[in-house]
Amino acid sequence: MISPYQILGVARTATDDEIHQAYLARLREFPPERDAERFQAIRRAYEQVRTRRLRLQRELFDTELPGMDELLEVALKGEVRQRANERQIELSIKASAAAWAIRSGRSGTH
Amino acid sequence: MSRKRKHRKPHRQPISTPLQRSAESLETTAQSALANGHHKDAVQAYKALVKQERRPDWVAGLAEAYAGRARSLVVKGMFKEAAVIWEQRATSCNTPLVEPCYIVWLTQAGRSRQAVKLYCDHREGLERTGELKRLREYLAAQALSGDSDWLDMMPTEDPIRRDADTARTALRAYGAGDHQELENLLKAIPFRSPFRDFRQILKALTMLERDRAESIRLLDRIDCDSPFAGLARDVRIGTRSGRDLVRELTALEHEHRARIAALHGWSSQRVRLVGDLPRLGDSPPSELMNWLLRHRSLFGACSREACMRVLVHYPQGLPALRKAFGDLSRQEALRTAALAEELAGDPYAAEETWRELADELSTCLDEEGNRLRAALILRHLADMARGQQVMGARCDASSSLQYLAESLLLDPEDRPTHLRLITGYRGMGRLKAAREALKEALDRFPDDTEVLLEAVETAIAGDAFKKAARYARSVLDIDPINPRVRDILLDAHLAHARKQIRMGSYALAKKELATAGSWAQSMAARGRVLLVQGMMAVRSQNIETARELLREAVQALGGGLAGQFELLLEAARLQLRPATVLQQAQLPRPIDLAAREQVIALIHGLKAVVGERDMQLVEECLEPLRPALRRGAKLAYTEKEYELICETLYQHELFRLLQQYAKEALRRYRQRPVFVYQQLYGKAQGFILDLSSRDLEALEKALDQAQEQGDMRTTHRIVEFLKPPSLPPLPTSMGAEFLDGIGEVEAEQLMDLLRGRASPREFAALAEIFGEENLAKLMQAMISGLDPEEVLQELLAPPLEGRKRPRRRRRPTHPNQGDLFE
Repeated sequence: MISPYQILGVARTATDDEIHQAYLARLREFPPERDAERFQAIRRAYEQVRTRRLRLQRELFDTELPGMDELLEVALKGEVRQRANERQIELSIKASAAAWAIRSGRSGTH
Repeated sequence: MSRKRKHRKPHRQPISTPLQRSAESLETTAQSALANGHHKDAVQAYKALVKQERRPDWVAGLAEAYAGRARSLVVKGMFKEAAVIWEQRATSCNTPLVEPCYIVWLTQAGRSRQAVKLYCDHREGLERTGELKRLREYLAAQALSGDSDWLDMMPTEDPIRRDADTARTALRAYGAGDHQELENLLKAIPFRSPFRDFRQILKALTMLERDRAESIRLLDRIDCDSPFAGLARDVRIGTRSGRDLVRELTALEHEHRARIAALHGWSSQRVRLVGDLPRLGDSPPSELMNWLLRHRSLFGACSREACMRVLVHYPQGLPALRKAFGDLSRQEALRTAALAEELAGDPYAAEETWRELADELSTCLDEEGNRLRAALILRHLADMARGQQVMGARCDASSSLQYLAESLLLDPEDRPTHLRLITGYRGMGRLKAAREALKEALDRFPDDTEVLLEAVETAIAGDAFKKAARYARSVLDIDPINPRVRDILLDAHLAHARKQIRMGSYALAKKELATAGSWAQSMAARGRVLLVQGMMAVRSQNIETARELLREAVQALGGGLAGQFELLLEAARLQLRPATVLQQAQLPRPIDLAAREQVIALIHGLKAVVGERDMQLVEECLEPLRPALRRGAKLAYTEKEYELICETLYQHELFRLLQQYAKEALRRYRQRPVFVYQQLYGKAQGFILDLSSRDLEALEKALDQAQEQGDMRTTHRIVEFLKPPSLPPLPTSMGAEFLDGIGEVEAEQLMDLLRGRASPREFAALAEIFGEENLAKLMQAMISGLDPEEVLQELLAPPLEGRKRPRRRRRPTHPNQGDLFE
């Protein structure tokens, strides 16, 4: 996601307490043993906006370019995904099998 | 007329000329072609040989060549041709036709029913090849990919036929989103089923939303040799994010990307976004801005913020951004401009713009957050000023502190700023201002240990030792094991003892030293107390006791050169002649101690007193140790050690020693720009005009190297060193009145005079205005190398005191950037 607020799922106008509560809720949702990467992202996001001073500091002086990770995450996962239909999966299986058959030429044996 | 020769691609000699070539030669050719992977040629050669005689090794060679040829066709996707070659192989060489690979190729060649029949008829034989499991998985994949009209040809007990229906129904249930049904069906697929990998992938797909980590774990368990591995990889790609996703997707063909997008349910708009990715790569901010604007509907509420962040790096994108999202607010425009100027390396313009924004915010302080925003900007400006100071820029060091003080008026609760302000004032020797800032801080944070520690240090800086001890005790009441305050207390009592000794109050000093001793916990701290006790004994003519104490103290302080340096410093602080005290202590001669470790330890001691207020005192103390340091220069050190030594000597402006050590450093670590600079700086004693043109050339070269290596400190130092020195002070008789009434014409004439172009008549006219003596003095001040224009500029400028740096008018770097600054 693009900003720490979105990672924590809070509005930009949220108070310190609201942010803290949202942070704890997110940690419960994504404990490190389940998704270490997301857990780290949540921690980082919280550290960036936990106080009003930090939030304003970020608002004023942050010059980091928007991360490709965040942008793609928003663009590709921003909405409820459509489930792939049977035909689409069939096509992927067919391509997978064909690729495997071609590999049989390279490896010489299966 | 010359005939142009056509360059033909060299090609291999035709093989199949059995009548022209002997069997021996053919065999060599066949073997070589086979070994080199030229299967077509190998087939021809072996065919010719087998035609001559069906020797078993030739037949085996032919079989191998056929197999190789078939596989090379498979790699190109020519399954039909590969199957034909395989059949020829079986006919010509009597090798088994039905092997797993042949069945696979037949299915890919569109002869699935024939392939399945062979599979059914030769199941036992195929099992012996050990490849039946994979073949079944492959056929299972085929059965799921729409090509399954052959399933009824299989016996009912075959695992492919047995589980195919369940797998297909599970696939349908997934498509329909029927979780319960799907779960039951997946459970019904046995562990040893050829559909096992498919079952796992389907499970991973369903878990993707709920438990991404588990989903990834399931996908990563799929064997990369499985016929379902491609499907697993496609699903796995969708679980990646950011750069990883971009990297994987951009490496794929368009069709494959579209397939992955469909598999993950991405809309056509998202497929287009992904399609744009290869163009993006590691592109500049302009590309990123265009990409964001093109697909802004996908980024929703984030798109404006993302574009604003890119705008800082690409101000030229403003018109496009404005077209998409409307005008920026004045505050947004100022903030973006200031950051853009900072990034463009123009701190002066940035400073002005930030200042403008702070002023703008100050006009509407009632608005939520504006007070704090303005304070934060002022602190940012303080950081910028400090940064320039660190880089060695000639800026007013106090401006940083002014910004901090101003920020506290807006946001007085920021403790770190209070601390910075007190430390800053104290560092500049502005003790009155430091005390005022301290009072403010103590009023707000009376029980804060850090503020109290500042109070201790400020009191010590003003020689108010009793006050310092009182503050220190307050710290210890709050934090009884605070190590810093213990050190500070020790320093305070020692300083007070010195004061008493200097005044001749030895009894009081003795009492003070006893208290100091109670705070001394380390060996070195005890050494420092002993040292002052020893000095007191020297002053009271108690030579024997003094000798004992001083020797013991030097030992406690690490002995050697470092210990002797401490002794010399302490002697100087107590207004004793350092060299005499050193003699009285009867310590080893410094020159005999000139070993590598000793020199390094001394340098560390020297480094610790870089900030010492009385540099003269340090230099005086170093005098008896100079021979040892000079001898030490001949020893070998590591590059890091040379850096430490030279930097310390540089900081103390010990030019001769600096030149010597930097020269030795260069001998061992050639052309290091930092050592080139330091050697020449030492040689010139810090005055650029004393360098030869050859030295200047070397310095320019070092500057280039430092820039290339990103050594910003050395770069900056060389640039500063290369700048022409400022005007030497004018003779005192040439006061402000000397410049009174100077007009444009006179200034021009004066310039001509300074350039040596003035005629005697003009000189006489100028002398009448300025006075002949003054002119002569001015010309004396024109030491070689000084630019006359600079001299005149300096003369015509208002006095330095209170002169402000001219405010630069900010100019947009790009026509489109103009709006940002309006």
